[in-house]
Amino acid sequence: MSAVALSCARTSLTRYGRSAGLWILLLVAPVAARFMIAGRGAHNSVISVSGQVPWLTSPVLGMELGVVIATLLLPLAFIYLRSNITRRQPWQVEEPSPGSRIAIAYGRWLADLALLAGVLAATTVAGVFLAMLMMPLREVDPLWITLTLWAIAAPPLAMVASLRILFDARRWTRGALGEVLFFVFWMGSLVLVMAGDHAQGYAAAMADLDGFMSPLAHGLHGDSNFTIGGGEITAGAPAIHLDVIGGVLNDGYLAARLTWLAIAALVPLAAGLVHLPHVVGKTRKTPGWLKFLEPGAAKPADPKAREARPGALPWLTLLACEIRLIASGRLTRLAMLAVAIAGWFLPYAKATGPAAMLLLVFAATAHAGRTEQGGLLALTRTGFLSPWARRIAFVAAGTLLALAMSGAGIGHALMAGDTAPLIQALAMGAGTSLAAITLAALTRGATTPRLVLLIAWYFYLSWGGGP
Amino acid sequence: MTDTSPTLRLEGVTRRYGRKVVLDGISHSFTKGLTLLTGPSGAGKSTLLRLIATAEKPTAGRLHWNGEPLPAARSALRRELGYAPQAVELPMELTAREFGLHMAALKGLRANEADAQFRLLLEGVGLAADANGRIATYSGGMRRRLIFAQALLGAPRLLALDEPTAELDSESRERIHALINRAAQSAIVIMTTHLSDGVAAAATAVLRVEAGALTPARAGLAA
Repeated sequence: MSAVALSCARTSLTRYGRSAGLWILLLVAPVAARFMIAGRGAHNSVISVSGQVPWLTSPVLGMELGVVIATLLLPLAFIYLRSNITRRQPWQVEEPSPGSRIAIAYGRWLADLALLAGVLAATTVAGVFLAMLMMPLREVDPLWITLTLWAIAAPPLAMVASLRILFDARRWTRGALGEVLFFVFWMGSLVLVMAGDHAQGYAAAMADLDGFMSPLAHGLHGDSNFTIGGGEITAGAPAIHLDVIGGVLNDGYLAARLTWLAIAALVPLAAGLVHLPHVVGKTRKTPGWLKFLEPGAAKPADPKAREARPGALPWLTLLACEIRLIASGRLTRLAMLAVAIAGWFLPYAKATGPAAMLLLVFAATAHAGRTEQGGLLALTRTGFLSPWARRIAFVAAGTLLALAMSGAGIGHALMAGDTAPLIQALAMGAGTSLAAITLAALTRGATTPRLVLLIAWYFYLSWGGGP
Repeated sequence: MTDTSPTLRLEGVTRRYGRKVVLDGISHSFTKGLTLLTGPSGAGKSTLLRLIATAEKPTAGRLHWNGEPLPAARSALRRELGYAPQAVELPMELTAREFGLHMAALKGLRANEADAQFRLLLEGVGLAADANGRIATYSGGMRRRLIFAQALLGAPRLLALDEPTAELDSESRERIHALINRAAQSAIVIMTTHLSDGVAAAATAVLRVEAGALTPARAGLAA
């Protein structure tokens, strides 16, 4: 078993090491940290308390770096692991091998863990460098920067590595459902900790997977008027002293962080146990009451059919084709129709607009991921209309579908002299389609655009059409 | 004296995909030697190989390896299996040698012996000079030969080969046929093919997969 795990870890790390994406990932956290850590005279900060910036000490800097990683960088880390080259494994020959699935899962998990530990190490080095720039040298304590940063960020990063292994083990979660579940996990962990009562102790620290609330709450002494991420700083307000060391060494905090690491370490075991092999064809029967969603029988070929001639309006044909392919499948078309009809009865900004965007996210990213595969691109490059023409048609088709789903809401609003839903639908359709095709073209798949757009959708939903 | 020749028996094996029945109650015994599977595209040859390679489970019926039924004998079968499917998502960033060593580890082979054997196999399929080249730089034919070479690692007693010589030039085909014929002297080799040249003469059985059934395509062969 150990030889199998070692081989999987070694080959995965070799593959990571030979991809340019690794070096980008290693740079992201330090660069993000540079722009998010507030120095003296800053107007906003990662953490602000009642408009005051925390007094910058080594533990505070470590905590702020930990906040950056445990909040903003978790989805990036998941996207990287999920859409990276090592996701494409030779499963056709690995699954019938005698190698243990548990060993394979642990090998890959260890490689992912090592990679994410590399991200943390790079951020630690950057943190020490930042401290030397922003603080008096005698106050720079690399040990406390390292301890607070790793105590906060290591468990959620380990969980990201574990979830990617777990989601790769089951057929359903290998696709879009895996991205949705991660999104729910990520948002859930943030919401849970922000909505908590900021108590201290092991149980409270266990509810804080992202790990920054317990040390922060310890230093706040009951003041809950704080902001995470871009908090405004009141001009002239004195810096506030936060006792981060006390929070980290507080009763149960480090034990809870170790417990989370232990949970993360057990997930690959579960992944190996529940692993289902890939299948080539469809194995399940569609239940009778869902038969209407299945594609109907193909029309018989017409022996008198003429040879196809070039269309008079190739651009228009391409646009119609893109609309058909984005809205492919009866289920998608029925859902789009339902959203369009619901627009007569429900408010656009808070209900049908977000519903239309969610549908467009899934439909557009699936089609974009399919069409941006290397082999297909090479083929379409030889066609009359270039891949760029198809990409432009894709954005136009996505925008038109957004407008079609929003038609009723737009009509209602226009009759009342309100153009906002029209502008929102245009921006949502064009923005979603453009982001889907751009990210799919860059990453050659649907995973990255889907997760990024799901996060964007959440912000759109939370915004609810603005004030 | 005990007969140690490997045996593989299919007993009423059926495979359905949704409503489509691809293989319908197939029964057959495979013994040492080369068996060719022929038949039209989409008839179920690759499906049958995936079932034999334990990459899929039958919807009904069962397989027996050396007299023991699967799934109890699955691990034993996998330890003696070499499988070369038509397409593999090869790890493009690895070299051929690194990929071979990884597959050897999965098969539980000793690293130093596997390294030596894989060098020989790469030489056998004409890839020795490119052993340290990344797979991403390989042509389609070179990748197919690499997939075939990894199947032979560890001297398997059951070889399931899905069109291993498709898209290959005649020299490469001859090299692979020679390796197949050598392996067939001690192992069950089951190979799908559309071609009738090269290995056909050496085959101990030629079977046709069509309309869900498996029938002898050459007189005198018992199904």
